[in-house]
Amino acid sequence: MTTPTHEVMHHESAATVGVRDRQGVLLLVLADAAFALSVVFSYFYLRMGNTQNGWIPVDGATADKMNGWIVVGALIASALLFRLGYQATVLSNKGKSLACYSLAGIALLVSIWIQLQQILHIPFGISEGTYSSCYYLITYTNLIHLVLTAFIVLGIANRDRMDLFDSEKHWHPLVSNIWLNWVVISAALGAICTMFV
Amino acid sequence: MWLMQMLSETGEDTTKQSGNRVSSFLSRRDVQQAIRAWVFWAVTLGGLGYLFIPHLMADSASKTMDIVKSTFMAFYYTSVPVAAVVLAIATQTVLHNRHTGTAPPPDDNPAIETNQMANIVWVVISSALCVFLLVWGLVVDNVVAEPSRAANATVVNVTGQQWIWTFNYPDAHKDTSELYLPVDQPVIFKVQSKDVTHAFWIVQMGIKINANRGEITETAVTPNKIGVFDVRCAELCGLLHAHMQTRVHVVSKADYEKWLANQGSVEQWPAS
Amino acid sequence: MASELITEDRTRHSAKKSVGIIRHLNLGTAVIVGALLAVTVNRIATKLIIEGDETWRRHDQIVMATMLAWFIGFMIGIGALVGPTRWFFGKDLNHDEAMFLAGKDMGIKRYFRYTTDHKVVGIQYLILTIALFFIGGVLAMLIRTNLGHESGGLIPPQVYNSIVGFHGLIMIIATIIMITGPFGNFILPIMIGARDMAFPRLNALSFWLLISILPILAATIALGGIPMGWSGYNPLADQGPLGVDSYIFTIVIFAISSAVAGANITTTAMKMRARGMNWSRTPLFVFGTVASVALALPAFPVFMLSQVMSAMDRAFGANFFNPEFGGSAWLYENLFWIMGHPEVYVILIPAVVAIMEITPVFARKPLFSFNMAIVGIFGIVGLSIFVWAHHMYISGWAPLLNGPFMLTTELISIPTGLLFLVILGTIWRGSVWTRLPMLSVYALLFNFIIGGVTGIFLSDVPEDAALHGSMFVTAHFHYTLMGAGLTGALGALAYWFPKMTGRMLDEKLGRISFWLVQIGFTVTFFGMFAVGLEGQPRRVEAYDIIFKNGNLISTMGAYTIFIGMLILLAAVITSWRNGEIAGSNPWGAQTLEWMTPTPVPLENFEVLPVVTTNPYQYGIKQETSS
Repeated sequence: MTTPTHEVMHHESAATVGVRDRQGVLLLVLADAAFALSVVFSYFYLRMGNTQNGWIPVDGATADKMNGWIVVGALIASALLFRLGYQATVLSNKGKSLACYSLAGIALLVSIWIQLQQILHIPFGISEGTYSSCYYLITYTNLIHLVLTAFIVLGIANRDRMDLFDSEKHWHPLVSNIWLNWVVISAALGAICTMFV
Repeated sequence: MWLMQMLSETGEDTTKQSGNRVSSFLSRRDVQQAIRAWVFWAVTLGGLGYLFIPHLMADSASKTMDIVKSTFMAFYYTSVPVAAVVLAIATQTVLHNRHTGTAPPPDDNPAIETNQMANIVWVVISSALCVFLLVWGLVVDNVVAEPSRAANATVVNVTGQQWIWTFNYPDAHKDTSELYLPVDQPVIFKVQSKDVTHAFWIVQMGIKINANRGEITETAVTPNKIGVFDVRCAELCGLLHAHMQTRVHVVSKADYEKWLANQGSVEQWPAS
Repeated sequence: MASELITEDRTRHSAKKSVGIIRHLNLGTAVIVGALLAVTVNRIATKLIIEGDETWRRHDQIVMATMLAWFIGFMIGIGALVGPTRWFFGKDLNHDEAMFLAGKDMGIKRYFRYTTDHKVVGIQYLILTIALFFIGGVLAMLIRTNLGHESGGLIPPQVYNSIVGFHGLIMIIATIIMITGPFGNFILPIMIGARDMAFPRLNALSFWLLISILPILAATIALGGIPMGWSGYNPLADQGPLGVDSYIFTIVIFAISSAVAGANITTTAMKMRARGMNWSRTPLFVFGTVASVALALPAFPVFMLSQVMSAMDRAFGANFFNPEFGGSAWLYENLFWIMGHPEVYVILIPAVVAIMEITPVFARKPLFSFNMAIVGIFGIVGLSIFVWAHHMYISGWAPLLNGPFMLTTELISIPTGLLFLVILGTIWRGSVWTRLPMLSVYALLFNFIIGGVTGIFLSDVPEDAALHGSMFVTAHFHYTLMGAGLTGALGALAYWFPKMTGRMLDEKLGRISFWLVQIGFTVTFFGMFAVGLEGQPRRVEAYDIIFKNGNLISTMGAYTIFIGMLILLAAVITSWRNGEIAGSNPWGAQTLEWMTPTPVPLENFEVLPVVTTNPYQYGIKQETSS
């Protein structure tokens, strides 16, 4: 049984904690990537298998092949802005970093809006073949990704507003940047998949 | 013998001839004890396997099953000496080096941190065994696939559904719930399912293949013994999975022709 | 271990209590919020989701919405969202709040809240593991009792199939967490000389995620069970009752929990080792635990995806696994086994390394061939990613791939053999201090060699065509997961019990239990090997009369195991309450966890240790020690 004893307080430097945070986020990205790559695997497995010609039924509608890339475009804008913000944080240039983070957040909200619009206007039902099932899976999981990322990016912007980052304490923007880059890649994986109808 | 090599100690006088090293190693008391334990385990395990396993496995009704049984015994006898090494060292240490009591044993054992020779021998032996297994597996896999390449093979369509098997003879337009096969005639089973996944298993012929909905899978065998054998489902398929079984009647060619000529329900196999 | 002491600045803060809402959150509030939200959402969903043609989908949607609501409510109620919310608003935890979260001066209460201290989480995991094993064991007894007679009949088939599924699912969860949960959390940070895990709040999260799925699992009983076995094969699962939705939720949440725990333990081991503890001075247990959780990290999301797809099929009529509209049962099997085979090693490796940690202490010799152990562990990890389709030889999926998968599968016997070499080399010419942990070393050697050899039979394609889906397979994987895995975990329990509870595990009861369990185990599964060779399929509730004797033997053996396990449970409970008080290092071991006082104080080390040698210096003369 463990026991509470005298109070011990240990300061760890921002860099020590930050290196750990980066490691942890990389590992979570690895787990998420396993999920995303399985989606890709499943997509092409079903497409090649085409059991009973059920991939796309006769006269089945398909989504615009560019749909995915529009979301990716908005996401890339967000990631680039965020990257600029991070560079400004490292230089303790607060005015610039806050502006960049806020704009990155707005770009992300735009991408969420685009993704939602696309989901609301899918020209086929989920049951019409496996292509449609996969399309729903890819768009919805991407939407969940984007909402989670919006929370992080807006949180970073808010924390920057509260003067919680500077050239020493720049690790939260750094690991968020890693995550954001991964979200761009995973959205691009989805976009690549849906190009192969 | 590699076993003793593995047990040999580091830091022995390297100027000695290797023959001397081996013989002095062999004459060590603990090594002698381990060898005796090894012989005991090898004989015991080998003997038990020889006595029991052939009787446990289902009687063979095909060359495939003969191969399954001989492969099992070959792998068993191959692994007996290896398992005996593990058990011999365990036995020797537990019998001769035991320390009882509540205080830890004194720290006066030889502080052996590694032994390059033992590592090498171990890896080489296990790699060789691995190659043996692989080659054996590939060779026999090729042999059991022979019936599927036979030009004169009979085709039987097998359909699994919850929880019965149906057999269709496309040449004779005949459907049955029990399987009839001519002896010494290669037969190819084209297997599918109407609902969930089943596994088509003729126990005494050593063949098994899943029955999937929407796909056709194939397996083949040449029955070589007249008699009645068991078909069981080997993939959990719902409520009455345990009772999803039927019989295979292997009959002479003449009886088979007679049976085929008899009136049976005529039903078209669904187009694939 | 020779270590120097380095003093660190210690700053004492005057107590300033401003811990806010966290103070009021605990298991009670979690259950209340979860239940309220679940009931509310259930009502709303029942009203909103209109009765249509396909009512079965409507029910699935309602059940899934309810479970999601319970899950979110529970996580809010336990306080999992407090941290992220406060981060968002820039109100990071101050020192008092961090201490409160770590469970400072809170006594027994800290076990019922979102406590971040790794030792509390370790104990929580230990209790959970024991509870899961108890439930899974009772289910195993029901299975064996029903199989005591050839026509079954004691339990109706539908219920029987669900019991088989539950036994599998609960035991898989229990065996996955049985070492990395209790010992990976409690022992590992101390073993590497750290004050806590890298992410203490994620640590608590990984545990409470598991707790949140217990009511979901229990609800399965009311929802028709999971009559498709723990592997959840589609299309059978698609056909199943609402209980399958519970199964889906369980897997999804478990996957998240293991990803979180995996990231946490891996980061801790990689970034927080004490000064001087380079990789060649790191205890093997750390390598093994990291290998296990780092392997689970990418494996379980694959399984999670298969369940997300399954949920979409069931609730919304998607067609991933529905062959009539393009779906494929083989896709499910692939996704399942891409997770499923690495998972076997996720369970096994921690058990083997725990045994490797025990062996040098009780043989009083250095660990033999430390490097070979590392090669063995990571060889297994690397190969395990490429062997999944040996579970699909007879699926008809891709007969041409059977050869290559046979190759990779048989290659795995080489690194596995190295693990044997390390243990055997360590006990050879050593002492055999016959205490409880050492008994497990021998039991593991005996069982693991049988589990390994029978695995070789099954890796052979024609052999597998005859044995696949038979009781032989059941006996084989019980030999690896229970004979080797659980035995290793019991050894670890006996070994670290003094450190975790401050008391020795009752040696006498422990021995009685050990022999009952091991003898019962051998009897049970030799009976099962026999009927498997004779041709009895797995997962059946009744069988042909020719299998009668083997099954009767198995059932008798199973009862022996159960009695032995109950005695062990009694030993654990009585020893924990009033066993013999243990010193800080009762085994005379050299790893760092034994250098801390028992009970281990909050934050483990007042001064962080510096490591100068590897922890297996038995019989080696120390040049310096201080």
